[in-house]
Amino acid sequence: MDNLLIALSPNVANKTDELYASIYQTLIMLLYSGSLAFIFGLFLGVLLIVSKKGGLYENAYVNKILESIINLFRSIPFVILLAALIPVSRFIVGSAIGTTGAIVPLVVGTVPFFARQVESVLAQIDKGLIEAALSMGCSRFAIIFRVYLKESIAPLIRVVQITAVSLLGLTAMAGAIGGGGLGDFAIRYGHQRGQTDITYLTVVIILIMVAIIQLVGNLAIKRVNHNK
Amino acid sequence: MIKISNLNKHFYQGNNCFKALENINLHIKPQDIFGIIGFSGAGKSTLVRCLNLLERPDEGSSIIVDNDELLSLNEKQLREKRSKIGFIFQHFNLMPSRNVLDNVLFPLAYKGIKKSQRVKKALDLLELVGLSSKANNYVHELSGGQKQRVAIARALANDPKILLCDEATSALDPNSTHEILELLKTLNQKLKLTIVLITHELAVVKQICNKVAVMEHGQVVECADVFDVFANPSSKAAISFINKSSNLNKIDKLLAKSHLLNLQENDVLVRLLYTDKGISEPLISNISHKFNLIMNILYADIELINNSPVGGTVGVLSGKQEDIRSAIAYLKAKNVKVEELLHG
Repeated sequence: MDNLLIALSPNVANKTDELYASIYQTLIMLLYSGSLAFIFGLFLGVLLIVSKKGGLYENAYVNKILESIINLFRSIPFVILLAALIPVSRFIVGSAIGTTGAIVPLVVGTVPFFARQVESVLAQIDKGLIEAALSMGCSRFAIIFRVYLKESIAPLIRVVQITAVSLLGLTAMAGAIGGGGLGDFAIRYGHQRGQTDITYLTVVIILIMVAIIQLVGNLAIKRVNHNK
Repeated sequence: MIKISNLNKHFYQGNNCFKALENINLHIKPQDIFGIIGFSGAGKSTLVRCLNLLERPDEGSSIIVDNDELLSLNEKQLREKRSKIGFIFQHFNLMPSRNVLDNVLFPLAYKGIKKSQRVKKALDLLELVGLSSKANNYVHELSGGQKQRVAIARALANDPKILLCDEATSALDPNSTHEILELLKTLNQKLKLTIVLITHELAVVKQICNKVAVMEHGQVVECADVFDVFANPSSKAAISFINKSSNLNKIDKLLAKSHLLNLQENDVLVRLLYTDKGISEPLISNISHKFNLIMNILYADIELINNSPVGGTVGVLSGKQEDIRSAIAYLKAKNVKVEELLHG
């Protein structure tokens, strides 16, 4: 493995360990902040849909407040968010720097994006299905799971895919607060020391990660999709 | 079974108030197949959606279904009640990510019924609607008629006593429409199901209903046995529906070009409408013998509704003037409606 890497990028010869550590950090950030963003984003996306006018739990105030918060956070550039959330990170995870410190801003940066996409997926559900479920005596709460989410599995996997790729992009910026990861590795060696081959190597590794995300997602969609 | 009193429903669009339903009073008896017919926008869909509170009517309305006042039920009781009122839709509203069996299982889940029993029940229902072979197919693989059968099986899963049908055949071709209606008729008899059926097609009412309410501008303008409405329509909407489906009115076009009819002196162009359930004698043959007349039949249209003939004949009566007079009087005495359209 090492030989292959060195053949691709001579400059990585004395820092393969550091490269592996960066890959590990990227994966940790992706996994932790991805899982948390999935849970919060899904929850908020559902909340957006059901609180809408004509929704199952119509509530103009909740909807309006949620809309504003999501729009606010979506308009803050991520690098600024990283810095701005330092006190919040310190409060929640006890550290504002390093890989752990990067998780809070990554989640905050991803949730609004994901929630919006969940909302647009759930908005595609035919109103008739909701009415059918209501007419069968299904409770509103059950409809969220049994109709909205269950009937949207395929497009939900699709937006998880998109969000995961976008999150991978965000992790590259975590270096700004010492979060490490492949982006940081590329900037420190590839950019600052002019070892361009390292930059390209990280690009290839990130491309492979993206390809894996796409592949797994597509296979999953193929399995669950029955409505052509 | 269902008693609707003083039902009103307003919709607000901005500051405009739109009266969708106005003072509806209906009584639907057990095992009725009750048709509600009206042109688009008459309010019939809103009405049927009020019957399980998919649409909530205005204060002061009353909908009593099987001895329960729907409007005074709390959310849990309403859910319970809804599961006992089947509902099928124009566009089926089946769950596309589930197969046919899972669609029928949907209303049975989380009710404390064992999995094996649920599956047995669902398979029995599919058998009942004639779709056992499609249990593992997905919705997009079915034809419209098959989809509606699945929807019916699903609606019957909790053994409802009532089935509400909102334009259930409007998206189907004539063959599937016929099959679905026959299926509903069978279910009505087999399961003692009360059926309320919304439609804009008179043929649907003719084929299976025993009672019909005609709606126009949010009001019920006529409500009676189907035969009576066909024989003696009193509202403008009912007359318009019946005229559109009958060919007896083609004569009106001919009348505009009356020279084509070529009436001789004393000839009378008449339209006879049979409005009595008991008509079985050969009336036209009788009058031609009795009064020495000739009747030249131009159009005839007879339908069997609930096993009684209803319809009429358009033709030219030729003979002596006084004989024609007496023949018309004779027909009127037999409860035949006689219209003299044109004199020669």
